[in-house]
Amino acid sequence: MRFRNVVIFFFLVFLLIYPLNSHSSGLTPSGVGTKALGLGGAFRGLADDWSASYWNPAGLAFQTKSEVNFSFMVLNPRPKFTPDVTFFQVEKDRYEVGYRNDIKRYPEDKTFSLPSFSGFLKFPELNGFITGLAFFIPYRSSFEWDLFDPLPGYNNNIPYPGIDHKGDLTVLDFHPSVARQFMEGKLSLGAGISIQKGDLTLRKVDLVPSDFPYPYNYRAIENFPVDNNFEGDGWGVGANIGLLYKASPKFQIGVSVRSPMTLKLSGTRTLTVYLPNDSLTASQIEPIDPVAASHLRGYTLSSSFDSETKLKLPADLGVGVAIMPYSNLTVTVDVNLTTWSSLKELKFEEKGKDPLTGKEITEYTVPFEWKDATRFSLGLQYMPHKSLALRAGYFLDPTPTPDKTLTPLFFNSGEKNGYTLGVGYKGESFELGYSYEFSGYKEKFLKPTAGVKPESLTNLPGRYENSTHTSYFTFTYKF
Amino acid sequence: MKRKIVLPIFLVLLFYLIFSGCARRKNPLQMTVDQGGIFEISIDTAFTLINNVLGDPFGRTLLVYLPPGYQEGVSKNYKYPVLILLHGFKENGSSYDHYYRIKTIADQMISSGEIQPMMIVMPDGSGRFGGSFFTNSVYADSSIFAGKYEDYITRELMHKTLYNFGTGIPGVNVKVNEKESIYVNITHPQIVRDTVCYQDTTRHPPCATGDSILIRYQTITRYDTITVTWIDTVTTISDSVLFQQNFGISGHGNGGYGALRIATDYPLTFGSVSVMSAPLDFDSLLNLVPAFLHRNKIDSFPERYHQIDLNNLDSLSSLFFAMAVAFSPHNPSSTNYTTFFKLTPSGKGVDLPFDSLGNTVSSIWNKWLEADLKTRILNISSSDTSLKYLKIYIDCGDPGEFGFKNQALTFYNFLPAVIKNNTTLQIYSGYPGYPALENSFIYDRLREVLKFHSDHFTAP
Repeated sequence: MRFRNVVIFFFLVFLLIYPLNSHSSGLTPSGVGTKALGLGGAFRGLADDWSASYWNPAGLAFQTKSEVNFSFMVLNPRPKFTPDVTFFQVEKDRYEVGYRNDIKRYPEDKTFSLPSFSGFLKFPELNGFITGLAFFIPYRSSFEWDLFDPLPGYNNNIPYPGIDHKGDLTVLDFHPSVARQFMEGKLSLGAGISIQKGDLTLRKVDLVPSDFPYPYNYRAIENFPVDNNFEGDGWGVGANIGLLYKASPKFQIGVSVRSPMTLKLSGTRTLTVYLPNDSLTASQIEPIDPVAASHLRGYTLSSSFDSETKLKLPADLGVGVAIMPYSNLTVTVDVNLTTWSSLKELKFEEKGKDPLTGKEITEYTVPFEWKDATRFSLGLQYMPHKSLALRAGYFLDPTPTPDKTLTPLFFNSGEKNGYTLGVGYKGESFELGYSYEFSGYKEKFLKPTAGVKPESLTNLPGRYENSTHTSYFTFTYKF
Repeated sequence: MKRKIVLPIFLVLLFYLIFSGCARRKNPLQMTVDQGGIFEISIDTAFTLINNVLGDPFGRTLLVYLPPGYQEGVSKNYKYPVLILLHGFKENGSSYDHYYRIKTIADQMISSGEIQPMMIVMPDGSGRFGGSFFTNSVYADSSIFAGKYEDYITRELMHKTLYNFGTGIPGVNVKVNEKESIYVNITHPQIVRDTVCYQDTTRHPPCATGDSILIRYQTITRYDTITVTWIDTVTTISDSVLFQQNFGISGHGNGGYGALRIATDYPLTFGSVSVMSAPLDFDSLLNLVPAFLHRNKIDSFPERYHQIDLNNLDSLSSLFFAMAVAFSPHNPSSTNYTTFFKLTPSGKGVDLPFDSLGNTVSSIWNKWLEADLKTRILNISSSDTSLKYLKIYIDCGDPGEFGFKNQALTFYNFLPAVIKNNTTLQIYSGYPGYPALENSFIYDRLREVLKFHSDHFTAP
């Protein structure tokens, strides 16, 4: 009894502390639910808690009671990026354009919490029918970097922004679900609807060739750096369905499908051109091209306009099994395919004006060209006592991001190996859970490609290193 | 009892797992760059340029970069090494400051320790058609035509500025921006003209063990007129080497030609020379003659040869006329006007080395070949080892506008082994949309040049 009180006290302290530190950053979470993450995400074949609404809604049908749940995830991403953004025709001749090359950079470090909650009502008399609502955050990624400053000698009067690269994506999922048993409790089917709200900030540097006539387009003013910043939000709807079949008390299998989803984001895109300052060159260009000469005064030109884009989130198809060789031991295995190939690009449709040329802008594209990725997960649960569960897991998650679009905005730099530990305590009317995950990313050194122009750069070459630490807490009350 | 142990362990582990990796990391601070300074010096009358027949200005300004730590008016404990940086075609002494950000680059590289502190002197050698090639443009009797730019560099400029800023003599007052005065000392008011072994003056150092060396100084004794005196001085080898190794000369384009010519004319004054995108093989220039004729529509209408508008020349035509001014002033006593172009009302002018049909005129062309660096180096006697210690750096863009890349390759391949061993050749490329033209990457090449010279300067 005393032990339980201490654990509850400890838990409540964290509930109070963590929201104070709450920020919006982190990697895309590995999933939701203490139990599921403690098993390395191998949960589709077990799916026996509230997080089944995310992994496999059919599992909800085997809940024995109604319940409410509150959880939160604490993320600590630890990325490092050492830029090598150089341009050349021949390998030995590399020229810089302003990136802080060969210096290990860190984003703005933050510790983040992602809350989730759910409530489900159980109707045992209706063949285990259960319905309810869950809220969770399936996608969360935020990195703010200081990677760029105009070349020495550019002499811009107005300092280039400190945070010059930012990728910030939050997707909130309001997820009503239903599930029911069939075949005398051997089979269950479940379905859910995803009502998702997305927020996206995308900020990066675009390099535009300067308009100074030769030979006045000398280094370091051959390119204008443009601060390109989009901020927008929007909604989308999708669904997931699942099946769970209990072949025997020692074996069960689950299959789930999550539909692709398109978030229609509306917002504002702002372009700010930082101009160089060179009054002598300006005076020489003035008779030839007065407009170009005006671009040598060191100020900024800015334009802001409405912009819309569609963020196409992937479908997910997964199958998992749970094997219980002993009453206190469970082994779970999952394989799932995420169709990231749906994220080909972000195409912004807009009506604005180029701040430099005054020409009309109708669209702008940021290429992604991500690839489908298949994840493998393995989990193990041991119960030394009927109230206590110890869990461990592993997963292997390849990156969907190809080299040609790899940037630190969304830090999917390399194959991810995840190792998890978890613990759960079950009381008469409540459950507590905790899990910890360490994800190590395979180090990636992306070399610059010969022949790429600064204005057509789609990736940021350099050395990518990353790891994440994730803690997940859950409190469930059953009634 | 069991719980009393398990619970603290559990909590400690939990805290560690939650907070592991939470520490806030800081990005490296921006490097603090110590600031040097660029000083503009006005030379009201350059006596090596006065009376030039083209009427080019004989008053010139030059810029001097003084490194961080340089203290005005203080006798220095050591001399800063000096790099003379000659500008490119259609540029002037301020180009390295305005276009290529020499101060920013040097400040940064000195602060980061990539190069040692040095003074950089940037004289003005601009001429009527875009460049003087920093050579003495004279008639056959050595009387002045467009200006004695090589003498201007090696006599007037070095004397008036380098030594003044470097060490100096009390009482010499150099005006800086006409506001500040720098009082300095001169301990070496001479220019080394030649250095030979004391026991055998036909040989150059290194000499036999125990031998001394004989330094032949060229001394300027007055500032308002040029009086040259030859002095033989005996000194130690180490002094000589220190003196030489702390002087470098560099240039781009027409300044690159001038730098290499001056360094090879004064091999024991300069320890290192660098050449950026310069004409190094005049034979290759003949390949550009058809383009010259075409751009001036002479290939279709040969009679237009003498009707070229000298006030509206394209860059290639300017290059040919600037070279003609430097290398082939028209002999006033000559009555052959086949390739003559009048430049002054009094009838003075230059000869091009080819006629309206593009045929080479050998009498003129030979004058150019006399100035051709490849020819000059090939003509150096094999017994003359004076260039043995000169470190040479040559680079060129690929593609270069005027075929300088092939000229650099040809020049390099023709070098005698003893010189080639001390020569570094770099051919560099740009990137798509920004090709390595004549001056498109000088901003970047300057870093290489400064590193090259710094590596060969004697560390203080």
